[in-house]
Amino acid sequence: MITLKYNMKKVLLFFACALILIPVIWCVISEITSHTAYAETDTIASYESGRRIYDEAGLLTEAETKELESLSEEYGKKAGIEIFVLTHNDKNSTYPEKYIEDFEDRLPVADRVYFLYDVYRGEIFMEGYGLAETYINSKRIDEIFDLVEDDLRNDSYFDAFKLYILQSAAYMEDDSVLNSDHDYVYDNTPEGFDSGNEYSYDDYDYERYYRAERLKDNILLNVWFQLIISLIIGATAVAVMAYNSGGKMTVGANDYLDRSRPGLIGKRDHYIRSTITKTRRPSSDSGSGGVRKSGGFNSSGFRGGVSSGGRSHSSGGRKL
Amino acid sequence: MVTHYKCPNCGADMEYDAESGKLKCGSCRHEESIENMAGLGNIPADAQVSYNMDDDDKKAEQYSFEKDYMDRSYEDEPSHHHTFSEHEITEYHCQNCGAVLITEPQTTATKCSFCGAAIVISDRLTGTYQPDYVIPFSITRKQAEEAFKKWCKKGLLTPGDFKVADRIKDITGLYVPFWLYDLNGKGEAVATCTKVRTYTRGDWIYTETRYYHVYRKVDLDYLKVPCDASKKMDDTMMDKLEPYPYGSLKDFKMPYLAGFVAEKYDYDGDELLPRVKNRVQSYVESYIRSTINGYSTVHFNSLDIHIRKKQARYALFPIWMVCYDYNKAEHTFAMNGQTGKIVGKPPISKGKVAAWFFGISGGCFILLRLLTFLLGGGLL
Repeated sequence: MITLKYNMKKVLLFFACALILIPVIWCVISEITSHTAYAETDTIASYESGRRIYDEAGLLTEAETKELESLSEEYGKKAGIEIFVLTHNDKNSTYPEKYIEDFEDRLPVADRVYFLYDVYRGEIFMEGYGLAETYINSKRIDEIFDLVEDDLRNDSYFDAFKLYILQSAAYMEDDSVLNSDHDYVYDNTPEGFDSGNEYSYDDYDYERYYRAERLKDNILLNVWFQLIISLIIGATAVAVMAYNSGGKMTVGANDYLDRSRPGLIGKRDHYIRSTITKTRRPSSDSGSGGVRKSGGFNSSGFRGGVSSGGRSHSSGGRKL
Repeated sequence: MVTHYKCPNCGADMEYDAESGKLKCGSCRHEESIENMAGLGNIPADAQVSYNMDDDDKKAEQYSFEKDYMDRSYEDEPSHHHTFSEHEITEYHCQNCGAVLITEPQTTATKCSFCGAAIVISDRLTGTYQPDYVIPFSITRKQAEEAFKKWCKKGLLTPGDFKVADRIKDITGLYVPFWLYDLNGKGEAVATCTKVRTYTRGDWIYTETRYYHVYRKVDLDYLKVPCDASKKMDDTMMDKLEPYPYGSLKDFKMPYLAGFVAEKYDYDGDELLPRVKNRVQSYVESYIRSTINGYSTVHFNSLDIHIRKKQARYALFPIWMVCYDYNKAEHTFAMNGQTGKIVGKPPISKGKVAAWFFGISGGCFILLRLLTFLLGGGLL
């Protein structure tokens, strides 16, 4: 009597798993190492020394930067918030809303307003945190954009940023239009909300970035993963071709079997027991693939979002 | 003892003709049936070498019910063939020209290397060496050559100049000795199987796993499983040449061999038994697996398989051996002389391997990128 062993299958399975796991690990590592848009320690150190203007795209002269720094300090102190200007021209950086959120998550909690000019994408984005979230809400962000848009288009960066600093400080002392609901739960403007209402004005294409982010997170769409899969398919196909070039076995278990009498002479299927496990159904509003939803509207139609670090903010963006 | 088959019309040597299935005279084109010519050989008519099942087995067959094995025995039936070590005459003379026939000890049919006459060495085809069956050639030498050329052109990885197939060095019709085994496979399996069902009630997803105790008992007969008994022939190559449709399996008669090269077996029926048992073992296992259906998972607690030899018959199968010169090396191919199936290792062109590899990989990659692009991702 011989009892068969299945070691061979296990070995093959192991290799198959390894073939699939290696590219996955590779992708994870490359994902981690590639995330160096700005050096963390530098940011914190320079923040503590009072730096507010981070002109990585090099749009401003040294003198202009200095002047903006002093303006930011002066008006920020007056308004009780920190006023930031960020620029960059980095095609590998994340999309504007997240770029500011990630920047904010590195700093200690405070009341801040950001203006980002993403030169590579040609987009501007603003976010307000803490008190600035209430005062510099999405409606006011849009108004600031209306003010500075033309200057930015005409390359008058200094004038644009100066206007932004002054206007932000001014809004902090203006109680006329405030947003105190920081719960941005609606994907689109809430039901029953007047579509002609100016607060809901929003032509910025958030959905495109969320989609791109979701796709980037999907391993199946990763370039390296697909390349490796393709190479494996190619190698397998050629190996099969080479293996079969000398003719292949075409007879199988059934070719010599005597079918004149039944082969199965004993058969029993007894139910023994059953086990039941239960898991909570994932709630339907968590989105597909568990991707974090970073933005939306509150009940009054103001736009905002939450950073990875859990900081809620007002937000607004525009394509130049 | 050497046998020539002479044409009753003109006295020239006759050879087996695959097209007509008769002996054909090369000179006067006269054809004569195998039955008529077989009488000229010296085989006693009552030379029976194979036996049926034991009486006990027959009785068991009568009394058994479907709940038990038809064939209760667990022991292999004894072989009735024995290798022989008696002194063999190693020198034979052509009866046409008197030249010494150059033969190997296994050769049972050949052609005289001087006058080309078809010769059957009947001494080596009697007693324990008398085959039970033969499958005659149904593909002629010319058809074999053409089929081979056609096959060469089909190769996806073979070099271009190999495909021309203009260097066939030698093509030989060969009767290769095979053992045909009738085997009984008994199998008993105990397995734990599960059926998994999921359903949703309110906020919870329930996964119900039902466990089953599954028992299977099989009693399978495999008939005429072939196994090549020649030392010279590569086993895997011979296995790949199957199947040989048994419709044209004939009782052995010597004239079938006229004009071809034939050999007697190097290994007797018992020596090859482990190899064929191994093969049938996997057949029984896959049969048992195929009887367990409808479960999500199957885990075998025990799987016992026992293979028993019931009978082994000696047969000669037709094979065309093609020797082909390529790149200073000789490549050997074998063709099933009944069906025309070809096996053998053709040379493999590195360039073509690379081309296919990069072609297929590149194609897949581009396709995947296009899909990604359609889903809204970047091209690179």
